[in-house]
Amino acid sequence: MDDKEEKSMDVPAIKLINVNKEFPGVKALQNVSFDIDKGKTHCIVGENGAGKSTLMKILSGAYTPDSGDIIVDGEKASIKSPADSIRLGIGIVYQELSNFSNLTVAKNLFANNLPHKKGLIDYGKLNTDARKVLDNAGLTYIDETAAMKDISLGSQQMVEIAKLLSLDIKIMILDEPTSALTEVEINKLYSLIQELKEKGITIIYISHKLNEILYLADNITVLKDGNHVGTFKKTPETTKETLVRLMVGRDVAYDYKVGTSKIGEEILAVKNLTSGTTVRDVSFSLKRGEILGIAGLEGSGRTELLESIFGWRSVSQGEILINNKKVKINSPMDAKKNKLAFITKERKVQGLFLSLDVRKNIAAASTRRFRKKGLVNVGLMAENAKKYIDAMGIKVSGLNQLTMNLSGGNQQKVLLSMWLTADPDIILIDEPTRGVDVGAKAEIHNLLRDLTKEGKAIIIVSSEMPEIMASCDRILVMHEGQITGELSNAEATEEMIMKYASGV
Amino acid sequence: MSMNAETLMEVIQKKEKTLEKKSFFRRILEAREFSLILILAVIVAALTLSTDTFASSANLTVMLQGMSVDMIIAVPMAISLVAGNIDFSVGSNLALSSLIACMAMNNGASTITGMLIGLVSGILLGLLNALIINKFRITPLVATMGTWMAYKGLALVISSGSTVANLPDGFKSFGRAKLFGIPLPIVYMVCVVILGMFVLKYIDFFNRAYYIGGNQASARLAGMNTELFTYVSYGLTGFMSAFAGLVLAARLGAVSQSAGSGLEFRNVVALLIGGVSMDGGEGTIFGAVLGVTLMQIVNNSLVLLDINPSWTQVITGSILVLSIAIDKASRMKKSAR
Repeated sequence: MDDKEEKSMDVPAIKLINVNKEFPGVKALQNVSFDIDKGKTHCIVGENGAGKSTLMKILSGAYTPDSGDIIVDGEKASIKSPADSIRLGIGIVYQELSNFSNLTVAKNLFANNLPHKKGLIDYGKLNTDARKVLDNAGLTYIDETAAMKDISLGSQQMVEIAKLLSLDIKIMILDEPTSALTEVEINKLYSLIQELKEKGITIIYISHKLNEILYLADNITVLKDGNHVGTFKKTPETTKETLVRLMVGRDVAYDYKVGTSKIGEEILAVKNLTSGTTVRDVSFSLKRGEILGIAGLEGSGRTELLESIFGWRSVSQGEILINNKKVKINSPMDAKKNKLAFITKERKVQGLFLSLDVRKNIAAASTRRFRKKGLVNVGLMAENAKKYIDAMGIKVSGLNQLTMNLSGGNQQKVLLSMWLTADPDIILIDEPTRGVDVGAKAEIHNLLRDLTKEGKAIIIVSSEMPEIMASCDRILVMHEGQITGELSNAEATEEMIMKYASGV
Repeated sequence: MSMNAETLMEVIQKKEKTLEKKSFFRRILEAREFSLILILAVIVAALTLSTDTFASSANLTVMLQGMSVDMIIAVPMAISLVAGNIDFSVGSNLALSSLIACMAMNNGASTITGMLIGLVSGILLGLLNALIINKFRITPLVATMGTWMAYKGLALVISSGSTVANLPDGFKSFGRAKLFGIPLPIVYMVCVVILGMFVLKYIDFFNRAYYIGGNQASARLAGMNTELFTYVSYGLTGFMSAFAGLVLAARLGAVSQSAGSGLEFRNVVALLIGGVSMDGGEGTIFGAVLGVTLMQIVNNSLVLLDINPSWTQVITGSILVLSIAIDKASRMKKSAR
């Protein structure tokens, strides 16, 4: 035991050597190597898609790396399942909690090993043991007999942390732990992290919030596009600006012909729009012929803003003006009547009808138009579909090909056609090119630009900064539900966007 | 980040003080079962006052005996449903396995052998449900609707539609004898209910129903054998269906293919009224007992009040929709705070 203690002081908790992971079409991690020191808080930062989550999933056994070594406490480890990871003393609290919400806190804590007495579940012991686990983690205020769903999200997260502690975890991974927490809960989490550190537990902390990183970190690792940019000690000289510079700094050139369409009069004005805590007091305007980009980190309220405008999410405050007239949009039906279109990023789940053919999909947002004498007319649908297939260059084997069998780019074009058929004036697009290959990306952006030349106005939400910068006339940046900055295309740089997006 | 340590601690302490345990009394008030007991109490009081027959021991015995078959099956059904596995085939299983048992007895099998044959067929029919669900990944409702129809048809085929009577006296006493003056079906019912309450709460294996029904993926990740649970719960429901069928056949002294028809609907409705969630994860045997009891009392009261018993379905249907609507409304209110 003593030997091990001695050895353990200079051996890193985790040593990563040339870890690689590839998904079809994406190199999620490329030769990532760095050390995570024992008993420290090690923060990992990077843009969306930098590889943070992939790396954490590898450490927690959800993914296995394609190649590379993971050395845990000086010994080469093979992590093939979550159980392996727990055995090595590594535990993770995921951003999306997955507990048994209908059961009590105590039953969640001991889901795998309910205490028994003579073969029967011992509820007395279950509750006292749970009490002990909670008290040990400093969670004296959580009732072990309350149903999980009746306690706050923050408390649920604390329960998951306490559960890992009861499993004798030495390394704890927290993936975006504060994204759903209130101010008080966040502070509570910080003090819990401090206590864990005092117990010698290593914390791996992933967050988009640079304030948090600078407050909590001992060491910081920056990832970018699956590459390891650097690992360094936090010093008083470390600032958000340094982090932002490391996180961005890439040169990708696109040309989506910004500035080639004529900007006309104002068509949409959003005033003080608020929806719960996800969209807060947002005001902006949109003109005909304009493509407006909304940038921000995941969870900053971008998608929710579009959903609120489109009537899919209930709005608690604020008003929407279209062509200078106040309109009430309480449902997507209202939105459609006001000539709005919404192209969701959840193409397969909320956008398309995958089991229906191309023809029917393109007709879906305007079924009433495809009637003859009051009856559904497939011929009219086919005519319309042909028009769009030619105009957009959608590659299909025939009009009755099922949409589920199309590539991502072609599916996106079908979804776009579906909404263009409804003849909107304002098009809201969330992640227009997610899961779309490079060639189709340019085609889609050129199509959007052409639409603005017909006097339509477009709002694009995208996680890819180069895409936003290459395609939008004007860019709004969101942070925690609010607009923190507005940039013209000429002014915008990735660093500026990143600064606003991090709330600096 | 500016953080004033003192005020932070104050905030947390304040929060800690506000998070007190719910009192025992409050928990009871919030339980679904409590509102059901209230409804039942009102109905019972009204019936006791408005009729002189309701509270008579003769009527109570008739009522309890009448609901024993439903109740015996409702208990394993509830355990299964808590795990998210509905069994719609119980009524047909009851008819088919009791027919098999009684036909065996009429063809020379001893009472014991005949009953064993019936119980084993009940288990096998239940296991077949589980096999279909596990192997072909068919949703429980669809799978058991299919077997519900098929078992019903089989019962008709083997009995050629005729009633099987002339059962051995030893067998009849299985459903007609009394223990300390209480008819055996009632004794069976009470035993099954107590056993059901006990195993669902205290036996690890059955208690997993709450985990599996609450979040099947998490339950699997936590290393629980969900397929085994499906086999056991359907096997058990099949066994209890056959057992109830034997009790019914013994009490009536005869069995036909129409035995137990409509039972599956009645029981599903009773379970839903009793607070067992159709999606799984929630419910208790006590709630199921209250649900079955409420259905029986409504039925009985219409007879006593000399109302056309066809109203039973109108009333129980309304109670079902109302009770679920009230439950939903109270949940929405809770989550809206």
